[in-house]
Amino acid sequence: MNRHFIMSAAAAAFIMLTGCADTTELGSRAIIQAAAIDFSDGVYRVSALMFSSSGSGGDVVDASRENVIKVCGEGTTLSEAIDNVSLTDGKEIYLSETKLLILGSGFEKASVTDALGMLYSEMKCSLNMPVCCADNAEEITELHFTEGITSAEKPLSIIENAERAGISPKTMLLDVLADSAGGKSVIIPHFSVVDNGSSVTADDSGLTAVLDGARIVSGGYLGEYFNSNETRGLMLLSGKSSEITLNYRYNGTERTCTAYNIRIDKGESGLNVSAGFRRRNGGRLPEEERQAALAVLYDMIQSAL
Amino acid sequence: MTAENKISPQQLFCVLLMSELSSEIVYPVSSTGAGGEGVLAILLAELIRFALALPVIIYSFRGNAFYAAAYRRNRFFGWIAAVFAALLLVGAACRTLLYSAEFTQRTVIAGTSAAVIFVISAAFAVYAAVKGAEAMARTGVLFLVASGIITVAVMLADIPYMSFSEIRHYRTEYDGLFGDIVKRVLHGGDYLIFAALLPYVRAEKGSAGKTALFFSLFSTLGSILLFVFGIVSLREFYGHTEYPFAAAASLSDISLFKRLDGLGCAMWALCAALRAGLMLFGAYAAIKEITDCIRVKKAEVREAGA
Repeated sequence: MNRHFIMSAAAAAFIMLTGCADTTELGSRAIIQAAAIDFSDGVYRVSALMFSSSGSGGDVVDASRENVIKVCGEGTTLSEAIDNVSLTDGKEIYLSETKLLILGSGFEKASVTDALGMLYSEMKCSLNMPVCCADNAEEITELHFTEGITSAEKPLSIIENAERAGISPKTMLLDVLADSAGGKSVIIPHFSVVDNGSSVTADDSGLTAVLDGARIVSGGYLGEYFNSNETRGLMLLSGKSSEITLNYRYNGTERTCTAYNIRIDKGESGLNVSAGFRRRNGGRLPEEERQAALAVLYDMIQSAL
Repeated sequence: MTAENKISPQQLFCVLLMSELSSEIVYPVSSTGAGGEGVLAILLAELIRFALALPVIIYSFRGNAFYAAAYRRNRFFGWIAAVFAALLLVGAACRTLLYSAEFTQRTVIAGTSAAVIFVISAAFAVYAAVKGAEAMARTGVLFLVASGIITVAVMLADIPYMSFSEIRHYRTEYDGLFGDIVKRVLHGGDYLIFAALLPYVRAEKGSAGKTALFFSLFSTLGSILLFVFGIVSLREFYGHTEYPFAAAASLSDISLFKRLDGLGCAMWALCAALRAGLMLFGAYAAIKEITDCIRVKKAEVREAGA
């Protein structure tokens, strides 16, 4: 029994002491909430939103403030750019808790899979970290969202809400790496900065981010852009969603319904689409209106092909 | 080496299973071993290992000191068997410690040298071996339960990320099958531990043999479960990561502990260190069986002379 106790104690110490081998105080660690990576003229620019309760003016986290500070780093390689973020901020970079990664449009020329592979294997990013893109990724980090504990949470909640509605995918680091390894294409949501908000951000500019479609990652590089309608079609075609809300006009009046159990068959005879339809309040659609809704659904899927 | 303590067949089963599963997790995976090929490699490798261990397994239904029995039948063959087993076990222990150190460095404590982790793990393994069979068996059961709980938690937390629908697309070309089988067979050493621990099993006749059969079955099922878990969680990325369990565990997100990969990997690295301890103890036990036989024989000769 004594031996058993000694061995268990030794084992417990063995586990717990591993944390002492490479200690970093929490205050000396830059916990990156969101990172934007732009690539232009052979230079990577990383814009990182780091958690900082002091950003709200004190040690207690004030959820009404953005609670992040933005630090940038540049380098000819991605790892160099990240290291330079650390040099600017003076803290050890910690990417394991990063909630969102935004890729800039420069990744048409720089390999997305190489960059993401490095972030996973060397920087310890989680495989379930959501990935999205924007024409100018840094612009998204400059929006000082006030909702959520940190300003990085707003774009993430936009993505998650759009995924639930079948409008846009929530693509994770794993999706990009796995699908690229399998030679498949993967769609990632696309953000744009628009002027249609009010009090969404800390400043009074009215600027906010909107999810306006998706881009495809094919062959390891950022590819074609799809608008919102095409992205919905892609979601259905890829099986990522099987239910969607349709808005259309029927007999000169505005109508809306939900299409569910959507089945798509790309046979030799052409595209065949079948689905069930119901009103948003659950009511049945008349047969003629079902045909009109089916035509809208058909056009949506056709646009993504 | 001080211990002469006895262990139960259940404890023997647990330490063998812990040893096998820890090697599944801490040994790096080859990039070819995915899809149907991986399952077939697991089954065929286990079949080969079982066939190689068949003399020991058959013997374990009748007796409990394999190397001593071999020595009594033929002294030279007994010595060769024991020394060969001891060398294999020491080699396998070193290999386990090397892989375990690299695994720990890559998944748990990146900032520490693998050599330092190797030295700490080796010290733990030697300490465990010195403490003897009973202490290792009890600790092994504890480790298996703890690692099992964490692994199940990781699997449950990964359910939202699992993709069963695309499993038909995974590689089934079988072009790397032979290499995978060879690697898996060489990962072994657990049946050598079984043979060496036989004299320490407190059991009625034949129960150790049943333990070997149960171990064979459950270790194969466990290996397949870990493999399928890796495949459905990581999909095509499985073949691109050296440590699929660690990669899949990094997806787990349980509110209190957040990512479970660090804890899970630390536990399995500890299991691997204990596996090395079992192997070192097994090497000692194999030689000791022969030296005990010689001592008894000399005592008998002395008594006869007197």
